[in-house]
Amino acid sequence: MVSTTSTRHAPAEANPGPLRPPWSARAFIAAGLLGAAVAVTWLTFWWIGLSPASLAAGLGDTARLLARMWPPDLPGAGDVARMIAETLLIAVAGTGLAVLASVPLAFTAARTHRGPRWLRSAARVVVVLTRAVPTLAFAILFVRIFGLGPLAGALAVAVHSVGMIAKMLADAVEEADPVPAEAARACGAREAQVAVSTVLPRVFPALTAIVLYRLDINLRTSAVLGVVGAGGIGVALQTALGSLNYHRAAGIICVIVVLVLLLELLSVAIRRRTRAGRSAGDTTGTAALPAGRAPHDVGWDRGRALRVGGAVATGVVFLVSLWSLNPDPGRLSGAWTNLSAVLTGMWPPAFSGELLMAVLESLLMALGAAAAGAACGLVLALLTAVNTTPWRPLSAVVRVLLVVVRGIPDLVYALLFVAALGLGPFAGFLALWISCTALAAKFFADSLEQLDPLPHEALTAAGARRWQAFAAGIWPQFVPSFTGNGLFVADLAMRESVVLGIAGAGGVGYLMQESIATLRYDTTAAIVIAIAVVVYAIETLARIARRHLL
Amino acid sequence: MFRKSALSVVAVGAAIALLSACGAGPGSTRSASADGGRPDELVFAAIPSEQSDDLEASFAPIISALRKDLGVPVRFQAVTSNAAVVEAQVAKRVDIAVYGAFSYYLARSRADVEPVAVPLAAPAGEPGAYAYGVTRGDDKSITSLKDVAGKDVCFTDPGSTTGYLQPLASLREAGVDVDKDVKTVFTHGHDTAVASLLAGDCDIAFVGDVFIDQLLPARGQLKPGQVTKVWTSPLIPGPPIVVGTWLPQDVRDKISKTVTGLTATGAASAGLCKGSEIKGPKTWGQYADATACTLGTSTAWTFVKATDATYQPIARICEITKAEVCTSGG
Repeated sequence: MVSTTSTRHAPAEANPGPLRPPWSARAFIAAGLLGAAVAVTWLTFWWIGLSPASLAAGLGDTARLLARMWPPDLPGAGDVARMIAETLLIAVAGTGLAVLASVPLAFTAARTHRGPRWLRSAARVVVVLTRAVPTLAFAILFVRIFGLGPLAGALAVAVHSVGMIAKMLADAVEEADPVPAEAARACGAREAQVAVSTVLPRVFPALTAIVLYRLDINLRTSAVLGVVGAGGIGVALQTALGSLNYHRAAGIICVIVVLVLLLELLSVAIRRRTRAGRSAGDTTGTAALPAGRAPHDVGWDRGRALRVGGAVATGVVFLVSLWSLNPDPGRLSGAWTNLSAVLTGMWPPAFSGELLMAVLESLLMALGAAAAGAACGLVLALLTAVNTTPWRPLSAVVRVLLVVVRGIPDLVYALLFVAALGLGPFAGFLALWISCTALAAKFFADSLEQLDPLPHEALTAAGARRWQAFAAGIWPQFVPSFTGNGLFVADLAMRESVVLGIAGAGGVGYLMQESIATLRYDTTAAIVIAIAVVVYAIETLARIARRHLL
Repeated sequence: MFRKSALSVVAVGAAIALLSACGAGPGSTRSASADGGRPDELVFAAIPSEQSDDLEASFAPIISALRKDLGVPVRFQAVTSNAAVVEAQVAKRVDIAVYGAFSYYLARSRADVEPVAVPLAAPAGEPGAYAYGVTRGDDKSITSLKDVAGKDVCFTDPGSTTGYLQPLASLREAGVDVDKDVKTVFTHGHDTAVASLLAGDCDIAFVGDVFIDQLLPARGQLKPGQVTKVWTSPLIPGPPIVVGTWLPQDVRDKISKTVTGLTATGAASAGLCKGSEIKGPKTWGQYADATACTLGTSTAWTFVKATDATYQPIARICEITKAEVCTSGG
């Protein structure tokens, strides 16, 4: 009897059923975030009174509006070339200045920073503040200081970009393999030396990707630059839409889409090259140098020549763009009095119940749009990324489609949905959701492509089916950057909620525009503070999530 | 531990689902109006301008008067883009709207709308506004529009009648070709136009009269003598209250009657703006410093009847200037 039970037990022990990882803090946090996202999305849907039926009923109106945009009409070739040049120069100058400021900030703000704690917190506050204050608010400040023109525009773009570049770069610095840094430190290198010699080369591919994202965003937000008379495509687009000249608007949007598409092609090419330089798939660092060369021999090969050439070309373009900003030194002397006049107008910040309600409204819609956008973006990203796409040509098609969707300004989506649904939160939410989807898809696709391909390859080689290889080889690696990017989209959505004002959905974006239009800078200041608090809260949440997921 | 939290997540989700089953959210949208049908709710849309501190509050007296007289709820929608309002009107989803005179000129060929009323700034005033050409107080080189040739000019916005189109037409009539003879700066606001003028970004700025006469001095952004007025435009029609012609004729008539029957002080004594009363400006003559309500803007005294013909001057401006914004087709 005893022996039979033991023999019966033996096979059971050999096969304890399907293997399951134990529940951990990691799974708990991931599930909690997922549950929260679903709950918030649901609440948002209720809040805005989501009704697909009314959307379907209004599609006829949207179609008629689209028909009125056809055919696109372009201004003369000379005008187009001048607009493109102005826009590119502002975007490049702004992004370049932002990179210069972001690199030291990111290293200071990263969790791996060894300096005093207060310095790290201070850096983090700077990062959040520059990110929370909308470009428009900076544009107003800089117009007062430097006058109307490209300089104010480029600086507004630069300051606002610092927040995003520094934050994403800090994430990359935290993710970088700590071993080389420790080795350098053990040899007595100072912190700056460690950063430059071991961490910077390691995060360089990520930095390149981040800068290219930001350039993409800055190119598209050039519609905002129109406000400060900086010239470029933004002014033309705003004029066309403001005078209901949809043929012209459609033509200008085509130009923007082509520019974004070219930038995307450039970015794919550059990222492929920086990845190749890192010798794909290796994260331990042993193969960081090209094979077949002694490690100490840093000779010139094609890759290095291209990299150095690229860097020099980038530097030259940046310097040319800086030169084109044409700073007027005479203006700077009177700058301080202008600035202090604006700043005193901002003090004390005028908080009100209405404002807090608007913040809540915007937050709800931004979170809902980000959650729904992240879900749709994930599907699109899986179709796009070269290592997960079921079919290569499909990947290219989806990628181009995403660029087109991203290139069309929020204002146009808002118009289309307003035609279908009337003014209100539903139309605003849909416009925000589309831009979140396109952004999330791009972020996710790019970070999927940057994953270590070895586990996936190993599983495929061992005979795992497609979805098995994905579930075990890609998804676990992807969870941290999925969460991080997802929360980042939420915080981007919060700041892009200006579009809600366009659609009559209220929210903090509307209040911001109203307070600026009516010169109530004390209200503007209160809104900026409220947004900063929310962004800081999202950022803290993201940091906690990363600490437990990484 | 995890099972428990999963349960609580499910519970919260269920609570929210129940909540949403209880009724529509605060922001549900409504369907398009049927032609000639009796509306069960009217949507009133407006765009923030420099002349209203809090848009919703400044339209509140008008909204409550309409609600009382028409007997249907009136929903207010604040929007930051005139294109969105016009498109919502094309789709018959905004019944009443207030936007600039030039926006009306653009909207009339696209949406089935008509103006019913236009604000009057003072009891003895005319229904419209003037554009001023102002120069820096110490700059004597411009005394008339002819002198503008070869100078830098600050306009507000290509879609503004006072800040761009009317000055453009008058400059053209004075023999100045804006495309060839001057450098144009768009400042995107009347206050920024004046600020840019003072900062030396341009030599003359074209702005609405109310900014030079009232708003900027009251806000301390313009001191006496800082600018000199060198040109005053002909009367420019004010921003109309535009209604959709899909509303039954009697409803449109009632809207017109209600708003033209309002006066700023009358609304205040009827208690339409309890708690947010303002003092009448000096231009109101005997009613200066009287307790009043805002009627859309802080400077409106009442509304007078308007028709499509009221906006003929805009069509004439477009004929003279052939400005690109006028010829944008449908």
